[in-house]
Amino acid sequence: MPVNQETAAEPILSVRNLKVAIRTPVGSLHATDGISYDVYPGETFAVVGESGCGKSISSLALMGLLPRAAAATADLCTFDGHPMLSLSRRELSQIRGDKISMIFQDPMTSLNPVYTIGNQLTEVYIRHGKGGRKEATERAVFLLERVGIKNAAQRLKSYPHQLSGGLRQRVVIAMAMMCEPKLIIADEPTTALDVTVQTRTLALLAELQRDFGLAIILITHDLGVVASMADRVAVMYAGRIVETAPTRELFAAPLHPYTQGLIQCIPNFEQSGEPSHLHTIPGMVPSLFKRHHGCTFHNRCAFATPECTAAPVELRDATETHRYACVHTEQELLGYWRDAETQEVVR
Amino acid sequence: MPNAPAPLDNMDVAMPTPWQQTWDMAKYHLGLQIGLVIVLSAALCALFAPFLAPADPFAQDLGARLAPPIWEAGGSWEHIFGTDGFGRDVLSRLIYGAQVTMIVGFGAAVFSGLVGSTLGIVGGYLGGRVDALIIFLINVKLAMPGVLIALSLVSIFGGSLLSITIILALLFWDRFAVVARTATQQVRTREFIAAAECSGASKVWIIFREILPNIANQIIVIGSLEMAIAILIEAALSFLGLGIQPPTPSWGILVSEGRDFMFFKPHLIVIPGLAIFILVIGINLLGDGIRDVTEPQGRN
Amino acid sequence: MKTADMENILSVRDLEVVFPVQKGLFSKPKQLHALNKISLDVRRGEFISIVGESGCGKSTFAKALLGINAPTSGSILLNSKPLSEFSRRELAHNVQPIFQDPYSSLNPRKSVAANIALPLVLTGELSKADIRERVDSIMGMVGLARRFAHAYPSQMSGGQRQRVAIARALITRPKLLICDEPTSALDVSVQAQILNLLQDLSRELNLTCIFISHDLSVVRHLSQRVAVMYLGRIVEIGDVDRIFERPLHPYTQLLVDSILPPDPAHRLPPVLWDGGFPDPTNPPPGCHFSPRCKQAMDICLAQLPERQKHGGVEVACLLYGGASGAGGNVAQDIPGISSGKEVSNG
Repeated sequence: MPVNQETAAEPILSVRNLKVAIRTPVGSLHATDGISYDVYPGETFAVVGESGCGKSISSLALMGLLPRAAAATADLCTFDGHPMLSLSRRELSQIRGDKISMIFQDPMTSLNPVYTIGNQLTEVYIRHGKGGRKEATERAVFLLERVGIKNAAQRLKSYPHQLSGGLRQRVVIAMAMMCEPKLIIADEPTTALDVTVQTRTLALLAELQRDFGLAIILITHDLGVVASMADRVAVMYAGRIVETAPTRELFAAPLHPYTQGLIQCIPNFEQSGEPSHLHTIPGMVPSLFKRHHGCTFHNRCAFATPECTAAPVELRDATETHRYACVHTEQELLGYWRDAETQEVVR
Repeated sequence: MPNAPAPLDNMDVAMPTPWQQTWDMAKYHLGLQIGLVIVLSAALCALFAPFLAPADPFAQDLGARLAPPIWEAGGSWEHIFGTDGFGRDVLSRLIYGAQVTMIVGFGAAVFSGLVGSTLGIVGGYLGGRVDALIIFLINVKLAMPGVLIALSLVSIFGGSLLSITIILALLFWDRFAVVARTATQQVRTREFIAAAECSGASKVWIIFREILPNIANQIIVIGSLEMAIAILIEAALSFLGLGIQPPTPSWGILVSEGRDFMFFKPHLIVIPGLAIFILVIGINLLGDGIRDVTEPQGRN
Repeated sequence: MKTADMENILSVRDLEVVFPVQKGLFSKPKQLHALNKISLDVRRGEFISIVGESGCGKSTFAKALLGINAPTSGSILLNSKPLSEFSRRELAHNVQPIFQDPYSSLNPRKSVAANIALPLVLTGELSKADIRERVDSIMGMVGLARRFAHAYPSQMSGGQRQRVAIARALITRPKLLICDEPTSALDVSVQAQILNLLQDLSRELNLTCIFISHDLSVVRHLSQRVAVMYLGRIVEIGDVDRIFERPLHPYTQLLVDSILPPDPAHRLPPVLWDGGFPDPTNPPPGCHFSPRCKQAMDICLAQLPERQKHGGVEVACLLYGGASGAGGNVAQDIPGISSGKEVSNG
């Protein structure tokens, strides 16, 4: 569990009111509907949500990797002083791989099968003008050893298909670090891996973060990953951020009903005894084609009231660091959470 | 049921059925529409030739030989495209020629499609020795010089409509087989095939009721392309005098007959040549269009 | 939740499934022992899980039980009758699968009703009206509104498609359900709905469920017994609470250590690269887990352990006896203390 960092005065990444719309034959899909967040240097910021909530697409927008049919607008989208959404393609490609790296989910497709891993590792370094082939190779060997790959010098000559999934993902991590990035965006970096490899790889990421002072945006659907890795969390639902808080606070006192529901419906490993029903969130994610007036979660929420649909629901402060988007008060929502916990114990 | 959960509600947006999606996309696909118009026109000519043709295509009128078409000086509405060296109306011969063209093209495509697809699906699904045999057959076929063999077969079996159609069909089955085989291999690994096996389906059922509907659109696309090629080859054979024999009008024969008058009556060669060109483009557009609008609609 | 009927619905003995693997045109084909002498009894009405990581053979096992992969040797008895003696149709009425990927387990060219009705249509015994009635009734049971009958899979979400898959599996009223990671591809909130549904249905219909998963929390929640597989063998099997509270086999311990609960107080385990999963065509000599095992003894490199009863569970580990010829007379429950000599791992 990473130490809760003292937040530096200046965030390294600031996003305000990011909206991404995707044109489809059946209409405009609002993948994200005005999300705002900050990421501070050296911290792990988790964005958690289920499929279709928009967590991946906001990072793709940042990196300029959106599909052609998508358009992103924001009041502010600044990384390290660069206004990301208004950079030219050339400027973006200079920053990508250098100051910001991205790790994707599938290690099978993240690496080019026709080049050796040595080739792919050194290419990043050389192309960003960090040095020549010799320095690139030295750094590649250093990083491969750092991620726990033995015989690194020989491994440089291997092709991706000769490595297992877990090894490949570690190579991808090494590749992401070749140019000493300030920020790594990891989009479900361990979801495709086996359970034992997953945990070890996350532990590696946490170690690298501490040693190299990286900031990490960790995109995931897995609350267990969030609990072990993240300093701060943003919970997304249907294209909006519904809650952000430091990790400990989020799990100790989740406010938004969606967050509460998510935490509750995970089967508890520690619990033994008679199998009972899992808590569920009834209903389904609403369509992203419609712009919803009011709270997007209200039709699945056990605590919905008429005010929920009356007006757009903005994020409000519960404490300086804990914000949530719900019309109910903090006390009410905490009350619901305590009730739910007591029910668990009774059950 | 005491414990059944409440029924779920989905259709927030009315997600269209696959057929509706295809129709929606087809409405905007210009290439598909143009191709469809062209092919349907040719098909209509073929089917209703006796009603559409203004004159008897075989009727000779030596007094009206080489009449110019309507857009040249001396042309008349009686012979819109003029007449050929024997005084026969070009437009009528063109319309009747469409019959030969469509029958040969369509027939060859359908016949080779049936043979090739069956072999491909069977090999792709069963794998093992059966597949090895089918691959062997395909490789043998690919190694053969197709057109030369077609020519030899024509010289043996003569140039009737039936024999030409069958000979051309034998030239094209391998492309169907390869596409069908690859498509089948991709579909075979999907879990609904295993589920069908577990439901008690026999291999025959799986091939025809589970796999085939899922690869049909790819086969149709190949079919349209093969039809275009068949038409071109038929025209070439007729042009060389080795295909359909005169006086039966086929577009290839029209081109061949027009060759003698190429320099002073170019319309006799240009018009049938243009007809072949337009039909082949139309078929290609149709094939591309079908492929575009029937893209697998599946993953969200 | 133990039913009174103790008869075994399924009896697997020494099941082996071997695949020949051709590495190149001229090299000798190697053998891949996907399943290596699996033995298992499943009682009627039981909910048993099989856990393991990729390559452990759990999917191959599922396919063998469904009659899709013919075993190389060994026997599978369903209701005391060898699996090979069942016709395809008979088998469809006894065992049904629920697969992992809701996007590929339904035929996209058929409507939902046609997908669900397939097993009944294939028997050819029921009239169209009867089939429609059965489809209606089963859709109600799995929580699908009737109007979805004419919808197509592409119009539905992952959770709904899984419900369709469950409906299709249950329409023949099978006795045994093989669930191969049925919720792994679903969102967490949807997973909870589907797991509750499976739980309810298995109780109502008195089903026996073999539940394959890599998610230990789900396994603990749902099942009574669990079998842990590694490289084609069952290395530990027994009551789920006992195994997860006190895992005996070092691999089971590794699995349990790797769980990440949604609890910020939980710490990540230290970074340890132990060589990972071995090449299944070239398994390590002796115990397959020995190269990664911190408690490996010299004997572990030479001998493949057999399953031995130990304190209510069965475990295949030489730490608890299991050496052929030696009895299981390790008195302690606590692993690693008895004779663990550290073997340096390459």
